[in-house]
Amino acid sequence: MATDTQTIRLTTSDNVEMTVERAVAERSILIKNLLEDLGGEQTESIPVPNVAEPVMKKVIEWCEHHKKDPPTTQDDDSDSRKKSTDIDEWDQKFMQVDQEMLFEIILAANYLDIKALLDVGCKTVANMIKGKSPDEIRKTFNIQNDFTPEEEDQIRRENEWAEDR
Amino acid sequence: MDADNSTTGSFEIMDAMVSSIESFNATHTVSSSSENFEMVEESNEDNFEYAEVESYHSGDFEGTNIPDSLETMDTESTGIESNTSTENATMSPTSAKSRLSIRGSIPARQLMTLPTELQLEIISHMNPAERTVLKLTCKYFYRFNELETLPSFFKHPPLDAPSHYHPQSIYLRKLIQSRAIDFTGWPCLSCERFLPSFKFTKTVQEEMRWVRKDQDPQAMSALVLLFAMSSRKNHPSNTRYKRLIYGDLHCAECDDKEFRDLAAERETLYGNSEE
Repeated sequence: MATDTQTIRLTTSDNVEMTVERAVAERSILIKNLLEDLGGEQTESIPVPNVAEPVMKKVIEWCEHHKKDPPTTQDDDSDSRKKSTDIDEWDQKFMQVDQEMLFEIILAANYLDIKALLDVGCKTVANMIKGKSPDEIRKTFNIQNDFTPEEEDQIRRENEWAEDR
Repeated sequence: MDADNSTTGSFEIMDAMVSSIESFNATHTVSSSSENFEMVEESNEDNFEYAEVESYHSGDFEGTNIPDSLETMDTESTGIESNTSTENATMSPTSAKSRLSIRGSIPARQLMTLPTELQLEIISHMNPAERTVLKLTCKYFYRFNELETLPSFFKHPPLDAPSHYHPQSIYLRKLIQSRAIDFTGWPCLSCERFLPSFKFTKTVQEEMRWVRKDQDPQAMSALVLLFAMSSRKNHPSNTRYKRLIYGDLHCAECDDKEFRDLAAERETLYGNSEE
């Protein structure tokens, strides 16, 4: 049985080795399942080829803060979780990073299977879209407007209902 | 059939529906463009079930809210792979891994360059109005089925088409699954909006009392709407929903307007009777 103080080593995509408390690393279902499959004490470093060191540091920081949270299950995929865009204050501060890092965290959370972190990341992006006009969203996310003026006019007329909600 | 019996029996249906939606979300499979559904209605209105066996391709039905000119848009012009059909989009580490390896050459992560399943995950946290605004940003998002907008609901043919294959019910199902509709409201078929029930007249509220206090209004309303739409309009159990089925469901404001219009028309035709 693994103890809380047991550590494991992770090797990031840029070949940096990081030592992490096992309980913290096990917030990742991917790592948790891997460790369970391997059994016993893990002495070798676990490669995490899709996550670079700066991103992994952020992910570990989040996992450390949330290590005592109850583990997420499939049942957590409820309506309220989906619909709410409320984010915990600490998580809000944690997500105050540049856009590239934000999307890297989302990708890492998806790869490492950390549902709660994925949720926080996606909610952060959803909140960035909230209350913005299409043009503001384009500017925020560097999206190119490829509609012709006629097309834009046509679809705007069809979607006028959204503007007074 | 009284309201209580209807709603009590519908608990089972609601559970089935909710669990179907939950299982959908659990797998994170969002493939509305390739959904193959049939709604199987049984003789008892309290017992109908859905079967994912029908070969109906939802992409074929009318009213997907895409203007003709946009349907023929050049997909290459966006410079982004046209993967907005979101077929086989699953949330799993494996899929993320494979995508990451493909996407390794992309230097900067942006909303547009995220894998489709993650874009859908973000969309799932947005309300219908926000989804619509995102849809209007570029052609790439315009093609997302998950960003279907509510007016499409009202653009489908009248509600008296044959059951099971009714495009409106299939479209509605798609909207429910992509969580694009907030079903705490009812549809006003005049002003084409989903509005809270208090926006309808007292008479309509009485007739349309679908939900008991202890039930989830959203799931029940969605359920009753689905049922009403999938049923034949002369089905005896549908008398309670006849307004919806016959396209006679209007909010109080539209009712007033209709009354005023009729009065004005009468005055034009016959003059003021008091004179």
